[in-house]
Amino acid sequence: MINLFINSLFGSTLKRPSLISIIFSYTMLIFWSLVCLFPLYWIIVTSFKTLPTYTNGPFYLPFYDFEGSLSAWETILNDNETYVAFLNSLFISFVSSTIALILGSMAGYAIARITYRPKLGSIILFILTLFITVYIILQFNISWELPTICGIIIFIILLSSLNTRFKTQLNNEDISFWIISTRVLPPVTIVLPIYVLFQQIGILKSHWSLIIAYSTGAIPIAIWLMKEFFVKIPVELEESAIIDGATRYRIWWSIILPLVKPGLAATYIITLISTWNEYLFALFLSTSKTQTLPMHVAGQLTVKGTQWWSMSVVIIIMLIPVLFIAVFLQRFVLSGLLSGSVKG
Amino acid sequence: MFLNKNYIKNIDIDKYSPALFLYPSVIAILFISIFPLLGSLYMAFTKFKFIKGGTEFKYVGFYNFKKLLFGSQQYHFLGSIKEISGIIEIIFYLFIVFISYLLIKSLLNKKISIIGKIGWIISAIITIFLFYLILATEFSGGKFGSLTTTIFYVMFGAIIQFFIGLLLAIICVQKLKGVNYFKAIFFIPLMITPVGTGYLFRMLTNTTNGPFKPFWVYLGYRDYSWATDPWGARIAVVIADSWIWIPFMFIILVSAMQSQDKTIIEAAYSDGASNYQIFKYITFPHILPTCVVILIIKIIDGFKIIDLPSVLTSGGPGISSESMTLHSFFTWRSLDLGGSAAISYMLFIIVVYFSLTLISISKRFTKFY
Repeated sequence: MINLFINSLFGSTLKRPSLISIIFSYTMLIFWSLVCLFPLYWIIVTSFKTLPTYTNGPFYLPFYDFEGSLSAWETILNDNETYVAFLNSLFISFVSSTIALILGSMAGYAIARITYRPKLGSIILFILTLFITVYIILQFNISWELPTICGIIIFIILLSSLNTRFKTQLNNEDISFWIISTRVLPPVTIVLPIYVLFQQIGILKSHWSLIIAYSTGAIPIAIWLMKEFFVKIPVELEESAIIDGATRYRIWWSIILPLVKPGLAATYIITLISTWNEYLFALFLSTSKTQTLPMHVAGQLTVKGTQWWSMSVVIIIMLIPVLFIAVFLQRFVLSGLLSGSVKG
Repeated sequence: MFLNKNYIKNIDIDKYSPALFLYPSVIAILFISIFPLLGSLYMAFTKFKFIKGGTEFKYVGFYNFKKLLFGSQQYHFLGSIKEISGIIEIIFYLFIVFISYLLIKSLLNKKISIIGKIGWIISAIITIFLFYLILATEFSGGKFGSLTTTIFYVMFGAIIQFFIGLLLAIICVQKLKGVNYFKAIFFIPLMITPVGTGYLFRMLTNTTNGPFKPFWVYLGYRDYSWATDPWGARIAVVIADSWIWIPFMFIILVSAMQSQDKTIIEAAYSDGASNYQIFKYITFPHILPTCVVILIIKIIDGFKIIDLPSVLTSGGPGISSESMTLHSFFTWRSLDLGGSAAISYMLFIIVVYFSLTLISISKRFTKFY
């Protein structure tokens, strides 16, 4: 009996599942759909409410057990800020996740396939030069351009002369660990120095401040995910390409990338959603001109109290484009990762 | 399958491609993550002050860290520590024996280098310390601090989310009619902004005009509020967090499961293997690396949890649902920039410990295939 249950739980991917398995599976699927959909339904219901219908106990069906009102929708849709925030969010998240996907798939491929042997000594040299430069800038209170250029030149000269003496080497594992280790930085810690940095460069008030921050935040996770997808591809494909005289760029662009389309889609969806929904960096780095939609959601906490109904409308507006993209790209995610590449 | 991996790695086809592929990402990460991190390190050793005509960062040494670990902020960071006794003490000693056993086993392993052995010793010490901290606070009559609360969120959340995600993925790779519609539905929670989810769960957990009011009244919890009970608040945060993260686990696990070679499964069926055996010996080993990766990603990201506790409970009641990032944010808001940076550095150390240990453990599994 237990065996039967276990076997029906771990259903087959090839044969038609047994009856118990079908019943169990559909029960779980329907239950979990309710868990996912009910909060969404509650947002939609709340968006038709006003102050009295919200506070006087729970009402479940608009226009049936309470008098629905479109006033929240009217307020939000007549608000110019909504359109500004929507366009800002759209621009910022698309550009930053595209950048993250391109850079992340390049670096992920490089870590999976190319051998790197950076020398520990040259990294220490880099850090030392950096510290001395920063110390000089802080100590003598001068502008940053000249010391930075001098520092870079001195570093290159020292590196070219000392490089052969360094012996200890790091490898790809160390690089990928270093990259993923930057994910652990709490955003609260790094956002203040970033604020000062962007202020110095003068891009704080443009969209690029958020784009740079978001794409850099998404690069490590893009690299980490893409690397996992790249490693699974048989090396033989690349070997035959090399024998045919292909360069690295050609291999990456024409052979590897088409094979990892599902991985690319999965990574793109994840970065797109995370940048679209990001809140903390937006809180610090966005101005009224570059306000994004999550800021607009939190903006419904007004002096008159929380406008739950307007907030629900903004959340629904935020949800629609992402839903559209996810449905549109879903076939890439769900189509098998390596289907056809080994056999064909 | 990967026999010739080193062969292709060592061919130098293009002179500049290694640099061109990797360096853009490295430079971006250096400028936006590493340099700001050094800036914060400087701040962690200073005290921020307003002086005439501006502000000042005064160097105070390890003052900020001492305050957190031993001084006035200990109750807030580590929790209020009580003596452990009775059954809790026995559990603690059993745990020490268990960890020592694992440690000695890895110290006697000749394949592990000296640096690796030192790493295992440090990791064992931190593990025992954190376990002691959890036992000595909430389980001995004390209270969780922000560190222990965060560890609770991360570990409890990761386990629940992984297993529910895996279960749903197992169900969804079967040949069932209409399963794609369900998959589309399961993505939805991932797409709502976490701030929005925080406010949404505040509406849902409201016991006076939320949708579950009849249910609460039926159970006799008419005046009960999640936000005034420490464990209620923590569990509300974990539930909201799971609601966001299960789709993430699910989406990755499904694509990992569907990428496996169907011919192996066909062969196993013709040899008479049962569904469970196929999962155990074929599917699970295939998806294990992916599982490890998503668990590590979840644990790393989980430590940064801030929007849910800040929106749902504002860290309350008291400090009992405050995560470390939220603690750092509150400290930052009260203009103690040095203290805030010190907390984020402690967070940094804890996460580095967790990810290093987990990656080292996972390396032992991945060598089998």
